[in-house]
Amino acid sequence: MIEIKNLTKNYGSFRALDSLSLSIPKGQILGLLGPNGAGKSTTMKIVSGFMSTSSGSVSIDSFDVFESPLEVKKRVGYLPEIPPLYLDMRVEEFLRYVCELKHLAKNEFSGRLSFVAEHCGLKDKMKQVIGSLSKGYRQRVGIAQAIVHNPEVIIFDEPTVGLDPIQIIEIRKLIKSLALNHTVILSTHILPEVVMTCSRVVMINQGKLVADKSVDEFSSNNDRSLEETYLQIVSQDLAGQKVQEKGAL
Amino acid sequence: MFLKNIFCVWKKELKSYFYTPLASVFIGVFIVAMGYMFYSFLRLYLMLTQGGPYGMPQEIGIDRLAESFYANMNVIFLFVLPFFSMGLFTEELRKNTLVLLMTSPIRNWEITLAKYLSALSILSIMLLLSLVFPAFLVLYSEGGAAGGPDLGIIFTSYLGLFLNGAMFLAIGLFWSALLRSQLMALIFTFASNFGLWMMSSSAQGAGGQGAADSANMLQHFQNFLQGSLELKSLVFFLSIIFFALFLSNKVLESRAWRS
Repeated sequence: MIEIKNLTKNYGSFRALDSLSLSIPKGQILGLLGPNGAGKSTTMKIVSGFMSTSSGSVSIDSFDVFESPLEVKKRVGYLPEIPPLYLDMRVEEFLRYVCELKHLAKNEFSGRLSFVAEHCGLKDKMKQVIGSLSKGYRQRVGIAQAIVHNPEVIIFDEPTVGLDPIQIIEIRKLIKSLALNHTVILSTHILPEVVMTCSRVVMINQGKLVADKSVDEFSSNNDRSLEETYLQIVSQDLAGQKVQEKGAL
Repeated sequence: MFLKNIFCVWKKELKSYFYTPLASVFIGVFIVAMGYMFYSFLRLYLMLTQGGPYGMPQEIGIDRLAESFYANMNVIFLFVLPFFSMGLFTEELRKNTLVLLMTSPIRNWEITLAKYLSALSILSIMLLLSLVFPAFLVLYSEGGAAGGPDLGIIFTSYLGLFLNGAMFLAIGLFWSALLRSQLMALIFTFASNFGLWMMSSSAQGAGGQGAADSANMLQHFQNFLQGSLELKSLVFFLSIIFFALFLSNKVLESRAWRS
């Protein structure tokens, strides 16, 4: 469903992604893990078609992100770190606008709106102005705008940030249920969240892929746990930096 | 398909002008201010043409009244229109909503054009409301329509006002795409509009020669007010509008490499 090949992204002299390759089949929930600045958000921005690459290619449903962006964008729902919300609009009005923008057929609007109202816990808030909502509810509207047009690929950049524990459980359930018809990429800093929602874990560090395993491998006892693997990767990174610093001295 | 995209964004943009009372207030103040100006000009005109304590009656056509009225309206536009263009893109950046537009199946130029059209719609609303003033002249002139203003000149005046206003908005759209804050966009739009204004004044000082004369915004606008449709004046406004829209679109495209 999603093919990422040798993806490289430079910000000036800083290399955010270093020939990253990934293949994500349909129906998979992929958890993207890594320390701050590892390149998670950059990867997601590129896959959603928001940002260009320095080199490499991304294709969704065999459409190249850069050659046929409109086809790709129809198939993708994206929740960035800061949810894109028009604070002056009402929730329902906003979601309707997203449906129109994403070319959803008119006769599906009301069905999809009630679906997200139900599953994102927005039933009582549909008529409210977004600016008057609390952070948690805004995050839910952000999730709603990513899935309201029923896209084949859904990209969540830290979807449960700012939610209370009950909401987090609900949203995790929602993400799991999406796996049936959608392909999901999600990034998070909460390690247990990955085990609970994802079927596959990919760790990236300094723009490189460092681990790619199914969640079952982590939960079974014969291998190292997710947390240990993560810490090992990050500490290797720190050790590497120290060696470099010594070398510089 | 692109008409549907443009319509969708245009509709939303136009609506969003009225989420806060700002636009309504500006339009209201504009009409009231123009009303007062119209009243003052009309009084002055009647005083001059009918004579009285200030001297003998003078022969002044009513078209001169309309001309100075519209020249002043254009000055008001210079100050009011930047408020309608300042937020077009800066707000999308500030609220991070540009991401939504740029990850939707809509081309960059469709976004640019839809936003520009929504600002033009506001300009059109203002111009339509201001039709009450020439209507007044036509209805109440002595001898009915025959003694009233030349409707051809009124038409070209409105065309000139629309083009000049559209140019102010296009320049405003460009600054709004380039800069990150509404206030900065507002200031730069004012500055550019003033720059064009000053250039015109200095060109008039130079006696209407050479390149400065071709870029003389006031002179081009004046042509419309005097009822002459000159190709070079049309080209002047349309080319600046086109160039500003082109640049705005380039800035928007470059966001994919910068953010």
